[in-house]
Amino acid sequence: MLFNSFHFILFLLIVIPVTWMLQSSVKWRNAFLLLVSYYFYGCWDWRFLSLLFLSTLINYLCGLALGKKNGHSKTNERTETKRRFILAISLVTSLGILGFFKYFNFFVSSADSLLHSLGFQVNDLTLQIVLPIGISFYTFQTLSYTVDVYRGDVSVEKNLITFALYVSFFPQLVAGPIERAPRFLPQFRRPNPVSATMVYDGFYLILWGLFKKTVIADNVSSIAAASFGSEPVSGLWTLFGIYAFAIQIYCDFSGYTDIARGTAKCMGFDLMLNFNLPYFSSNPREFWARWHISLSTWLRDYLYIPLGGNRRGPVRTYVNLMTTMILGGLWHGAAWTFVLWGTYQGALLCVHRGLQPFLARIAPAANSWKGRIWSVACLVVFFHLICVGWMLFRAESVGNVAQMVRVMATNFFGHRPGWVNLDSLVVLASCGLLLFGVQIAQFLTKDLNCIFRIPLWSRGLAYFLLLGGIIIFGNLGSNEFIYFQF
Amino acid sequence: MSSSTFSSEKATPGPKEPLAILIGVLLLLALELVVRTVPESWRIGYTSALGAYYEVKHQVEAFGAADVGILGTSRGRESVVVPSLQAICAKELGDPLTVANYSCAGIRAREVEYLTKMLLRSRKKPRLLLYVVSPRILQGEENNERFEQLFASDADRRLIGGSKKKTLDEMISEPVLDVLWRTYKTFRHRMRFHSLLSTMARGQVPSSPVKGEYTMWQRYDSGRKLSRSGLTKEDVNRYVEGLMNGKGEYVLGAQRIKALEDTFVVCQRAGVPIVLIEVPLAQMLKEAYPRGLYDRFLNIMRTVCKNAGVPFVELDQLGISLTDEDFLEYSHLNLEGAQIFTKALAEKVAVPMLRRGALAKSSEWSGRR
Repeated sequence: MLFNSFHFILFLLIVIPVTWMLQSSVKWRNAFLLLVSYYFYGCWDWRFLSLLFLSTLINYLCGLALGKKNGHSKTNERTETKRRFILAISLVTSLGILGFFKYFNFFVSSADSLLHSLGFQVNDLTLQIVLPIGISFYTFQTLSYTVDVYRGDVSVEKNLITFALYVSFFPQLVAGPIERAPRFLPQFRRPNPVSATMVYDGFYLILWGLFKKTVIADNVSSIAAASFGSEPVSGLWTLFGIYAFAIQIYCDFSGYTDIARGTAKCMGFDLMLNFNLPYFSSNPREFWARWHISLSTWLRDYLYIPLGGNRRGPVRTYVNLMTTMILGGLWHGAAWTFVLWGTYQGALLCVHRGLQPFLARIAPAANSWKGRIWSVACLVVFFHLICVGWMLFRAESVGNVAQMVRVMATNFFGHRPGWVNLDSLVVLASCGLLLFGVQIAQFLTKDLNCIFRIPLWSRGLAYFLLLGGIIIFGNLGSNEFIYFQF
Repeated sequence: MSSSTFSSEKATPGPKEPLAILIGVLLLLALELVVRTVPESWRIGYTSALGAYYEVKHQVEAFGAADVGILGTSRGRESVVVPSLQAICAKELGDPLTVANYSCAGIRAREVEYLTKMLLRSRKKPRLLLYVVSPRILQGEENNERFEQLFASDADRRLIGGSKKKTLDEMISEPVLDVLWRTYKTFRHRMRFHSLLSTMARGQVPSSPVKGEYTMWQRYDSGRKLSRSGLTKEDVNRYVEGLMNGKGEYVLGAQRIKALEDTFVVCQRAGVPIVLIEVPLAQMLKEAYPRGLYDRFLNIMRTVCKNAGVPFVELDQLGISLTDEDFLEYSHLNLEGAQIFTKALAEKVAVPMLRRGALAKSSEWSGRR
């Protein structure tokens, strides 16, 4: 069931009012939401519900077991060993399931290629494995719960239905945001009265998310697909295709998140902000504080900091940054291009970290005109560095990346490829202007909800443009969201 | 950069928010009223890509079929100059008949079958159908036509729907979209807004062969020539490879050949003559096809037409010779080439067939082979 389908609209028209009616009884509301969440997930492939059950049950039981051990007044070495053992069960099973379904073929085929290149003959071991939708998202969410219980950061959830709902709450089940137990679990333990403000806010988020997905992302997707699907012949037009993908991936993923947050809001729940104007970042550190925030904070708290973070000297800090980002890249998909993308992001963070004192020294005062030019230049330069990352992310293969880089370096003003025409230029320009126009307003007012500041009539016009845009220019087919595959 | 540059969700909607939403909805209704008040012919937009399928549907539903209808892919669209064909027929027959080119980019034989059925059940039936073919119309073995439902009648749609397994999403979304399509003209004619934008961006007024006008390329790109396009054999090979299946075969699908036969049957039942015509292709494209493919295609056409008693007009029968100067690129004729082809088509096929009327069957053409 896609967010941009009438099936989902119909589903919401039933689920939201029933949730309102059941708010007075937390038990019944949760049971209902769990049931509809499983229905939502089962619409893709009911067979994978068993994996969701398994992951839920294992982490629920591990949480309970850890809770018992945490409750011991004296923690001795034996108790600590048992606690570690329980945590290891949770980690091994959750990551094992994820590893098998997502990475088995990747590692086997990579090893196969390596052995072939060394002259060894091996049988083809790859299996026909279908990737269960959303597995990376709910695995990380369940893992964070167990780790938090182990650390004592969150109290154990004894109610299986509440815990299962925390894992499978339908708005964020298949593509996040990856919520954390301390923030999210309490919302299922109490009634959440739904105010009119929350519903209006939710409605606007759903509309804006749908607009970003169906009007912007789906219209520029054909340009990105044509660019990445054909042999690069000119650096300029390759760059044009990369710009298209930068717009597509942002609008696709943030559009999904907006719909998820809006839906949750209409039912009285608050999902975390996952995107905060990422293309207005002037350095990689800031970018990761603005892009897929739920994943970057997860990686920071459960990987980077446990690895030692920046507490063990500069060399170890760089190693930790690289490790975190490479694994973050691999989280996105089982392909070398994602590993390359993660490595590139790690390298950007390391280089920025190394250059930070120098940049601070040469940067003009922020309030001067030179300072403003410097800020804008940083935004533009860093946007292009992000685009280099998107090239690695979207490319069909590492060879494809090499071709694109070669063309950009050696034949920047080469002849125009067949897929570039006036229509594609107009689509990209209008989508880009529309998106960045809105975002400049959000950036300058420092308010993502700046629409609610404008006069009533103008707001009415904005709703007209959003609704009309979706009806007239929206791609109302069945285009899946990019991040579902991760 | 300091964290102060980060935005947050500060403003919240006030109690008057429903009023703002209502204003938005009222403006949408006002737009619908405007769309409903403009004349039908103005509401139908034209874009030469996939929008053409919708234009054909709207045009036929609103005004019925033209006297002479041309069917085919974009190759068929570009090979015929509709105003010229109309002028020749009108002059020769002394009858100001209407001509429309219903060819759509990438259309397959099964979609043409449903398009033909739509033309035949329209309030004004065609007098002659000219089906311009190349291997492209039969290419592929899978049943993945996107637009057969668009042209199909309600009964046919149920049949098509019954033969394909639908997802729950499709089962729910399709009827809703269908109701929206039938009742909400802003949605139904959304292509018109696209073509308006395109007009503004290009500064070119849309020109529609469906309405009896030149194609956009004929009107605005008439100077393009294959000889000056810079296209190489490798480019053409890549294009042909893109049409092949995973095994590297260029498949002329059995399902699509069957669709061609079905098209003949429905025309014969309706008493509307149909003629199959080989479309001109640049030599470099024919050479890029796998060995023997083009002959196999011609043989299939000859056999199918002979069995059905439908004329199949091959290029050598038209007595024209075309060079690279007559093509835009390897697939499509330019205006110059299309004029040559259209003149021969009009004089040797359309006019004689129209003179004989519906009773003039295929004997003249099919008997030659």
